[in-house]
Amino acid sequence: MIDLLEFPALRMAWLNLRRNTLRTGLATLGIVIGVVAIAAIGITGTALQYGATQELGGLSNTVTVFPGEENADNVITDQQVDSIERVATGAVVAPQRSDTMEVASRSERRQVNVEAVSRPAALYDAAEGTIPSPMRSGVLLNADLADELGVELGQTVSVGGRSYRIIAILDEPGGFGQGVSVVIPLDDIDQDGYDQVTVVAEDGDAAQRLAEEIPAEVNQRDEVVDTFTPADIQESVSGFFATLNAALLGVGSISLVVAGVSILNVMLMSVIERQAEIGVFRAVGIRRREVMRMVVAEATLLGVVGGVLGVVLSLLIGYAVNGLLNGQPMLVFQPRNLEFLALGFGFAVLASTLSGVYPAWKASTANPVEVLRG
Amino acid sequence: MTDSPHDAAETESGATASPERAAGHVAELDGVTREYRSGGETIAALADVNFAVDPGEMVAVIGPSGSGKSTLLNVLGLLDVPTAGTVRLDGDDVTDYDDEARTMARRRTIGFVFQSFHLVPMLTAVENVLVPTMFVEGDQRPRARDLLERVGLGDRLDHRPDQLSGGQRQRVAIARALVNEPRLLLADEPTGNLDRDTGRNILDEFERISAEEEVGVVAVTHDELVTEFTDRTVELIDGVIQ
Repeated sequence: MIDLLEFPALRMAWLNLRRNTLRTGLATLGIVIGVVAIAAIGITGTALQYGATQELGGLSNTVTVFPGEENADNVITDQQVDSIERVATGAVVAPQRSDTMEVASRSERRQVNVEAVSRPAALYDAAEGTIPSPMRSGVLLNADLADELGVELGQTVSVGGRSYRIIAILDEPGGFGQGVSVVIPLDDIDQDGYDQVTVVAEDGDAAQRLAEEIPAEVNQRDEVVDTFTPADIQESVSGFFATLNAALLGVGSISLVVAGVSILNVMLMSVIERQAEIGVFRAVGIRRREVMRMVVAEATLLGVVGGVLGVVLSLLIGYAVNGLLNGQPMLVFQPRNLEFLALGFGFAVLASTLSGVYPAWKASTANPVEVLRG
Repeated sequence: MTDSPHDAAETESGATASPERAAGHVAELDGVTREYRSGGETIAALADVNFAVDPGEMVAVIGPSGSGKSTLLNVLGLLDVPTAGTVRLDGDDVTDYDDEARTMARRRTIGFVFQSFHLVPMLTAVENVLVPTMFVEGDQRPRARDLLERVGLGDRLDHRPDQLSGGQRQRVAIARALVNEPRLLLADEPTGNLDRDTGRNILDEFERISAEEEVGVVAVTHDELVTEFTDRTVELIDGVIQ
């Protein structure tokens, strides 16, 4: 399979590893465990994080601005909305009012929290119908509420005594903090100022930046507005997993170092056992560096074999874990996981190769004279 | 021993190998002393030894245990360096060569045959023969096969050492020693682990190689049989040539 003349070091390494399969197997096992410790744990971490992020919903790019502690009127004024718009260039700024009202169909009635928004399209997704932007008439109903009231798209309901045509049924994400039931045009709740302003930023990072810039701009003296963004939660979740992963990777790395030490031990033993043979190699004109190359190749090969087995095993584990946690086993192939696999494999090969250096040097010092004496 | 079927191959290779080689000694020891320190005492394994081998010559070195035979062979084979004196290989003074240079000189001009064969157990006969050339450019496989055929192992090319008899193993070792087309063949007790008949066959082989390939052969031995085949016998006692 490997040609002696084309890849002499590799051929000799391969044959030497096959000489004592139990010893080779055990040394490889150490590497496999090390790779799995790094890669499988990393993959599991990614799966958990993915699950947690999904729970948070897709609104991590929004910033909610609401009246702060020192806001006497407990509303956000038009002027403050202007300030917010100045800061949040490029983002959608949607002032909102909310009130508890009675929503009624012909047969049913409910007291629910009603949101009044001018641009609901930026905030909500429609399951049926379309959300106009801006919305000047009509009502958006949550699918659950529509069911309870026994109404469908295009029919009429009354909200706070006024009649509205249902122009869209909302596809509710169901994440926490997003429980919206009824949306009507902004001006249909008649009050000064707004209860909150939702800013839809480009991404989580922009949302986090705006969450800090908006209060800085608006709160000149008093804390009249405060902000909240799910991106913060997402970031702390990410931070938690990053810490967890770093700790686990540390453990994984240690186990690979331990595997490296065991390779060092195994190689040293095998090199000492083979001293006579290496002495003959030296006698027949094989140079010290060529002997070293053979032994290092042996150690590297152990790392490659262990690394490949470890990667395969980690993929299987990752496949199962992603299947169980997220119901999507193929998520194991996301780029981040491939990084973990590459890291585990690379570290395995590196640790084994380094472990082979000392035994290789030791082997290269074998004295051919001793052999001839034997 | 069957040598007739291989005559054609032998003459062909012998013809290409010899003509440009200069006359003169293949290897030469000039006033060589090799001392070892052991427990505060200095022991001279070789004391002012003068010795030379010519191409095509076969020399036996005999002597009791501890007489310095192995040291002589090691110094000739550039495995050991003398404490005093000069070592010449093919006319070059190699006394002060460093490890790398000595290794390369061994690779180029010396072949070794050991008492216990020292074949690599996982390699086939052909691969064992190729060992000295494995880090050298060029495919010596045809030559390796040819050499094995010439020592009568044409049907054992892909056998591993454990599938071969002692005599066959020693013949693989001889083929290995010849793969680099050496000028000097050094044998340490080449018949030591073989029965008498097999030993005879091996010595026939040496004789043939020495004559046909213009190779200088030095065999260190206890075995009286060896001296029957050699051109010259040198006796070494306490590091001194008698």
